[in-house]
Amino acid sequence: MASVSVRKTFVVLNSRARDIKFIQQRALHMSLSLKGQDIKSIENDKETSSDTDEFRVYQIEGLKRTSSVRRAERWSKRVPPPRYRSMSTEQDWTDVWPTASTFKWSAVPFPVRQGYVENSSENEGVIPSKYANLELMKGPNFLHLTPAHVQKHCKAIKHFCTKWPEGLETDEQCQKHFPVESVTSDYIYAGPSLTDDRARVASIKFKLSDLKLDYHARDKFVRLVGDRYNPETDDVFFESNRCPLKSQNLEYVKFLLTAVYFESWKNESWEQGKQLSDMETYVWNHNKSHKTCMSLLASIQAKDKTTEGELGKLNYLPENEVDTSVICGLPEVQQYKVAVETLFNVGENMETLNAYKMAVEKLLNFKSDV
Amino acid sequence: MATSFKLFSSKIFGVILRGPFICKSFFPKAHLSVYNPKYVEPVLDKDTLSKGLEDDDIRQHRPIKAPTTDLSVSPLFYDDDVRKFTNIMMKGGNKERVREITRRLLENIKHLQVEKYNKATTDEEKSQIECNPVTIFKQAVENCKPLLTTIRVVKSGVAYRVPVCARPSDQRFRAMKWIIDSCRDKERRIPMENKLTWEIMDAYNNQGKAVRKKQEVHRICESNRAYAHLR
Amino acid sequence: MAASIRQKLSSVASRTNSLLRKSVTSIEHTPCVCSCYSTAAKRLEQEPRTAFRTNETDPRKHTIDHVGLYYSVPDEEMAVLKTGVHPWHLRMMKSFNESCMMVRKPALELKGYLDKLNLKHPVPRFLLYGRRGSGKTMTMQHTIQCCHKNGWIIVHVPWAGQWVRGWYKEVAVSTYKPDRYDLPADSAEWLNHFRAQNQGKLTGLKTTSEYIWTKREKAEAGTSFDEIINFGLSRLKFSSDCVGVLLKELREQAELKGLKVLVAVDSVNAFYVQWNQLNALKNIEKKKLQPGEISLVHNFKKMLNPDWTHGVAICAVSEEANDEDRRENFTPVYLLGQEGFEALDPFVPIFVPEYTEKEALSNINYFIDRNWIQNAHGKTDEGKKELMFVSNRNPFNLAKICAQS
Repeated sequence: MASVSVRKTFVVLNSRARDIKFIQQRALHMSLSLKGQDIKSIENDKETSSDTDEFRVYQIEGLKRTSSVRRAERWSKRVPPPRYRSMSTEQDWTDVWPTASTFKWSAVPFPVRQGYVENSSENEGVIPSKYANLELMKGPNFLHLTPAHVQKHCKAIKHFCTKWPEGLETDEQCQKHFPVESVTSDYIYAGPSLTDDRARVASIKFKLSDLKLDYHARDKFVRLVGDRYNPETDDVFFESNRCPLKSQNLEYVKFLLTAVYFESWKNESWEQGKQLSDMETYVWNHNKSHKTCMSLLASIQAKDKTTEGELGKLNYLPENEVDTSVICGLPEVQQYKVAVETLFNVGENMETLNAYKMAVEKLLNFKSDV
Repeated sequence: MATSFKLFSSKIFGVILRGPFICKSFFPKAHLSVYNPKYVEPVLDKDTLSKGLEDDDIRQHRPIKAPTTDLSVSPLFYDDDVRKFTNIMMKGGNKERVREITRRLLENIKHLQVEKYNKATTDEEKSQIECNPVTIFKQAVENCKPLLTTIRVVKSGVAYRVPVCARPSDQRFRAMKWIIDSCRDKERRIPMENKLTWEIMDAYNNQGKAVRKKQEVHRICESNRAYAHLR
Repeated sequence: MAASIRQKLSSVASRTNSLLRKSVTSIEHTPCVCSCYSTAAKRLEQEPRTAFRTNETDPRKHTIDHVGLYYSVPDEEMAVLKTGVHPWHLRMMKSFNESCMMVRKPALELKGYLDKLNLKHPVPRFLLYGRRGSGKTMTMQHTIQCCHKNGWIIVHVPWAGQWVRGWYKEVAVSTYKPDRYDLPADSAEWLNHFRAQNQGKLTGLKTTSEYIWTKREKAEAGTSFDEIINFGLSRLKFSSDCVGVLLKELREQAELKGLKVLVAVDSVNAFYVQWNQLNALKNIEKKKLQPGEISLVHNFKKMLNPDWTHGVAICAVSEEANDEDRRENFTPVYLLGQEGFEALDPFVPIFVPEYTEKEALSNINYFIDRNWIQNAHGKTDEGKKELMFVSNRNPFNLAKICAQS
């Protein structure tokens, strides 16, 4: 800084010196022109004295510029140094950046880089720094939301707040006491209209397990709500935008919940005609597999009775005729039942298929030594 | 290089060659690759690849050339002539289909030969049977390659068919094209791979349509040998 | 700067050159310097075994020690098995000038079950399943050969899909029941097949009841099976009925005469699944036929019911027998559908896996022995590993890629 100023003064001095010279000359000129011819003769005399063998040259006045006219220096804007240079480390950041605003390089006291230089052979791949960096200006920044800011905001709104209720410290407790979560949104933007279509949407979400339902009611509930129920998270999600107002929509989704709940508890007459294909899960006892298994075991039982020898007999079957429910209760049959049910309800894979194989082996007494 | 050649030849012949353009035809350009000279050759060896590069290796920071197909594909499944044959046979970009045809063709040839091989009783007989389908295919193509072809030269309003030496690439293309065309002329109901099998086994024994086509071209060249100077 | 870079480059070049030279000398036997696929191939645990063949040609005596080894099938037994083997495989056997099959674990497992079976119980059902080309059919052939040696009567359906789909196939209304449909050509083909498989085993078998074909033609009780077959082959119109008669008599007489009947149905899921309009069999009115409406299928479905004894049913499910949009999975219940599962349940599912490392190596060695693998690289250890990796050790894929190399 100091060196610059020195140079400046030097220039000023210089120019001043020139000005003085100019003024002097000018004054001389004026004084001489008054005398007219005399001055020329004087000058000519001077030349003749230097080289006498040449002709004298007539000097036309004003043809040759005797001195350069200096233009006034152009005014230029002096940019003050960026603000971050003069910031102290003790300053209050909330004063520097009070509200949300576009990134301003001169006010940010830390180095930050963003973007990519593409078409410059020298700086290709270099990430530009913050100075005049458009990429940093494009994105939103959170420099107005530092902990200090939040603290200030909190302090400002503290006397509007009430105490957090006791017994709601954890998420589980909140979930327990407030099982229904309703979501509505407000939209603000600078446009000709203050209203936004999306603002009327209202939704509620709750866990199905929070409702008091028995097996039938739960099944009916799930069927009624369809894809609004997510079996993985056990969440039911109702959303509505059919009414013009937000409050109406909210009321409507709450009504939906009530209606579906009470509807699922009802047992209509047409529900009695539920077919096997309508079943929600595979139940072995209702299926053909049960019947074929029972008849197969019965025929084997009859066969075993007539034959002698122990080879390949089903020893677990009782000797005399018994009810099918007794045979169903045998551990081998139970294992088979579970295996078939998992095969259908869980799906086929190597594990369930192997379990099924083992169960059938036990059921029919097959053995393979390999 | 060019100047040294110039000096050298002028010394021998006592002739001053005029200008660099005379040398141009003798010496190919130094740099004909599609790659920028910055690109480094790829490492193809597996052991070297598994070792990885050192930190100060220049290849850490340099772009690497892509390895060519014939180097990077296993020799189990790749042969340049077979690839060329497949591509010549292809119609309308239906590569999948012609590849299947080529695969079956090789399989058919192998079946023919391996059956003979396994039925042969003595070792001497066995050693005479060539079982490798690719070798048979290559030999068949070799048998169909023309040494001479004719080009059309117009001199004073008359077109002459002038015999010239065929370039190797031209030879290969002609041979394969004739094999394929002779099969396309045959009965349409028969699968292409079967027709090709017969044709190639014929060509392997120096018979068949494609070989006859070659002989025909040779005959034309022979009869037109008076025009050879017109080239 | 430039000088230093040049220096560095030259040093790198010299280093890589030396490396390359070194490695090339060390692996001279592999002409391929870079084979990307084989890098991921698993290292072989043991040295490649040279033994890939066993002298034990009797499939009954195969044990777990024989797994992965080839045994040759005599020509007279091959005549029995031939119709069930894929033509592609048969062509290979012809080229190799010998019929060899590999002993595999599922076949031994199946044999183990059959050995300890109580034949007085209703027919047990075994179901082979596995990925495409994993060897379900060959496993079945192995078992059929086993049973053939033991003197069982073999009722074999080589490819059930043939009966439920097709274009321009002759479909006739059944002479027995008007709502069923006959396939005269297919029935006659099967009768031939049945006769060829059971040469010499059918003598002494006679029908137990009377069958009336037309007003003038009938088969008295006590007609031999051979005559029934001959009748079916000479009067194609009744060939489907003859099949029905044979199957019915077999079921009835199995227990009385102490016969042993092996029912083997390949791609059994064709009996139970629907086909799309394009590929399904149609009658004269262009109505799509259900599998159950076809008399052949109807009769064979009865063979799979557990209401008769002294028999074993071995089935295989295959993806190819299903419609194209129902081939995503290879598991039995998916392929059979609810109806098929209910018909076969309870069955023992037997998984046919892909080759193990040992089996794959044995297969490749066998191919090399038969001069089938011609590529010099394919005969090296590296090449073998590559073949295994590229085919994922799937038997059919392995044979396919070996055919082109």
